Amino acid sequence: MQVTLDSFALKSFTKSLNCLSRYGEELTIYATPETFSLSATNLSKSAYCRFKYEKQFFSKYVLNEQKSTGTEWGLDEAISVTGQMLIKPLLSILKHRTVEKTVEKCEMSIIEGNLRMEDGSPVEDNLVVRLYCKHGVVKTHRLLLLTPTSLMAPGVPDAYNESNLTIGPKAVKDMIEHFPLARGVKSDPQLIWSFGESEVELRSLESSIDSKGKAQLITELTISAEEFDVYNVYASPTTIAFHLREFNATIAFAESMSLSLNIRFTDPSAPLFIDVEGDSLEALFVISTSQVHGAVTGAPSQYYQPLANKKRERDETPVDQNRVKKPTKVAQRINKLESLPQSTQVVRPTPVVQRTESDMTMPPPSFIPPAILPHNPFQEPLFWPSSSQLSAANGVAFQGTGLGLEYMDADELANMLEGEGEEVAYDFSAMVVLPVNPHRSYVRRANFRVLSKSEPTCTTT
Amino acid sequence: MLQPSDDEEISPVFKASVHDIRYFTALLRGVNFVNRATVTITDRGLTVTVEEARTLLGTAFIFSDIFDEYFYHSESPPPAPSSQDSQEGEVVDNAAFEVPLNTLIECLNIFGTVGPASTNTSTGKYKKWRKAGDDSDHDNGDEGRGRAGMSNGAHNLGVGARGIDSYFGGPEKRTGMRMTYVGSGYPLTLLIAEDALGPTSTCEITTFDAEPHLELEFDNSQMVLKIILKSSWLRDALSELDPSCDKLTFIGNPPPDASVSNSRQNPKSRIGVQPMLRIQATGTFGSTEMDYPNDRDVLETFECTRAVKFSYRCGHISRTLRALQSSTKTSLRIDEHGLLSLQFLMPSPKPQGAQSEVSDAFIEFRCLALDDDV
Repeated sequence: MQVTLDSFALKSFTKSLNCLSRYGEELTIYATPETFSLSATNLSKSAYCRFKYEKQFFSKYVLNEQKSTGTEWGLDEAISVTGQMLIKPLLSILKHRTVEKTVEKCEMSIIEGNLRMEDGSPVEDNLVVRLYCKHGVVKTHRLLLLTPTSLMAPGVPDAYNESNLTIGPKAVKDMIEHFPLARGVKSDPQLIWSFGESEVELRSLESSIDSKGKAQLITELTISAEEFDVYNVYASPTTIAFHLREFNATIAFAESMSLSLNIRFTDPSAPLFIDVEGDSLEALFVISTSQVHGAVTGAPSQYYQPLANKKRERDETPVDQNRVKKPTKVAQRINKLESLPQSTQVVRPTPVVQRTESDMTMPPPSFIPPAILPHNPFQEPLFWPSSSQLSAANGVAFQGTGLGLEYMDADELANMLEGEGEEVAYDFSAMVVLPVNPHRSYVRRANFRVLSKSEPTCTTT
Repeated sequence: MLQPSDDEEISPVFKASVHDIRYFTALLRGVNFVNRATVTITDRGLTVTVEEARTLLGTAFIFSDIFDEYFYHSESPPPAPSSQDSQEGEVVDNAAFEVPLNTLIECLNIFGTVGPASTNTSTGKYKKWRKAGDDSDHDNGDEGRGRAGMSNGAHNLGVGARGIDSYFGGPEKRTGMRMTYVGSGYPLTLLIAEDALGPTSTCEITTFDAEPHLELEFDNSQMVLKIILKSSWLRDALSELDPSCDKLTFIGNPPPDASVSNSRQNPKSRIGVQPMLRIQATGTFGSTEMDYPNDRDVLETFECTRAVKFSYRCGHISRTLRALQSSTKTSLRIDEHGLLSLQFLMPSPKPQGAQSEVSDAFIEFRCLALDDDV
């Protein structure tokens, strides 16, 4: 594979890499004859990011057809080249301050190890980044390329009850800036977003305190839906919560490219999808969300649903998946044996039933069309929610407050904490009456900023 | 060799003064990677030498004409001038002592007026030396932040004061210095004053007897590669290397029109023409090669008698970065045995055109090559 970027395209490419590096450490390259995709998944597999460049983006795009790794993956259609590598070294090459000034052309090629037989150099695949600078200086960086053990792919969004928002990056940034977020690598705050009929309410999640108990500050911000260029909420209010770290990376990217964000989400436990489209560029960001307990009432929630809990080893029960949906991983590993769907748009994640909550507001059970049930009944999700999104302290805190799930009786609680998952899920589904959301058919389309921009109200308790 | 005190007052071994210490300090900073430095005083100037790991030798050559006043009086009695200090060999009549370089630089910067440590690589840095008043606030602000360590507050104050002066076009305030070394066993005395009316500071720095140094003689007759290039090229190249790299290789090939070399050093290259200069580094995540063509804009001088390939430890080469950053031109030479000599021309603040070539100080690094087997 060989691609060539001119200096303009290189700038955009570097911005993408910068964004990818904030999603995950490992970059997966997936090149087909028409598109060149870069993707990254974070460690807990709760966020996924993919940049797909059209062939036209590159001044030269050649895919070597001699050896197709696609066949290994059971891809019939595709000649494709895949590779996996650490983002950091590549980014540090392309982000170097001299690159912007002097590089005229950047050529990237994947050289497969077995093609390099001139000398006894190692047979790993290499990503060769060759920078052609002014005055004929050529800088060649060889980076080790691993064969990806798996391709990550996000679940397909469910179009049935999808909400659809479009907003410029600046506007989102203005909203998020109101929330004092602790700095630091480990800090990964969550925000609760309530999309109402005409207002959007943002609230910091009080569980986002750090282990020292700091940041016991809840900020609430209400903003008019007119801030959004497009505002279609399938059922208002919809309340979702998600982590900001990756979301911020997306915003920063969109802002640097002056592209607006198209946000899609379905229900509180399904991932949030963000599309950013530019010239010859299609970026997809998927961030898992979590349900917020009792959020529909608008009262400050007292409980939150952790993304991870200790009971995740329990068996999945596909029967129940449309009852209680848990935050699922946004990216799934694709096994070699499975058929790989077209380009990395893939398999519906099998939702994992992990724990129950008695009064959570649910979408109607029929919301998942049968068509998106897992293709392979024997397929198991290989990624489970992991605890990386939450500190141990949070887990402890949850257990403390979790006992306050006063709607459960002791047996259920015991079941929840220790019992078999199937049983719990079964009991639960038998017991809970699922409310049908009266607003489900309500779809609102916002005016395009006809009215004066409303001032966001900021309440701090 | 101690002398009666009344004698010292009359004729110290070494006495020099300069009205602006920044250039002098910049030269010292260029070799400030090992604390203990040997200062050798000769008729023509000073050399400051440091050594690391018996492999790397850094020397700053500071000529006497950068000082306003320079006086050297041989410590040894005139009839027998060669009796005492003869480490350098070439110049027999010189005095040498060792001094903690960090302390010396800190003392020079006691008013915080020396300016930034040359960690910032902004181009055109040397311009500021041409006229003391013309550094912009911006430069100093940026680099002042980068300056680590003590005297930070004083440093910033000094910057502010100078910055305002430069706006008002007022008299240039420069920190002057008078340096005295009475003789062996005496401290090095610095008298530093920010201006005539301001405070003065007297620093005495303990000196030590000079110890013999690593001798790395570069024999020009055995030179196989000689390159003169703008420092910015080398600086960018070194700064782009991955920090994980441990080995840096210089590969030189004779220009294409010269006799064909039969030992192609790097068959990996897919470029048809052999690069004349290739800098190659290998790190954890891969390797980096930088090829420089035979272009006058890049390589001002390129002489290569045969294909050469020598490797050096990255850690040693990176010691040169500080000097490299404040230099304008670099001369890179490698001899038959792989001894690398890097000379950095440090632009002098004096604006004399014709004479500047003479008075520009330079800093030289010599580094032994790694064994090929390793």
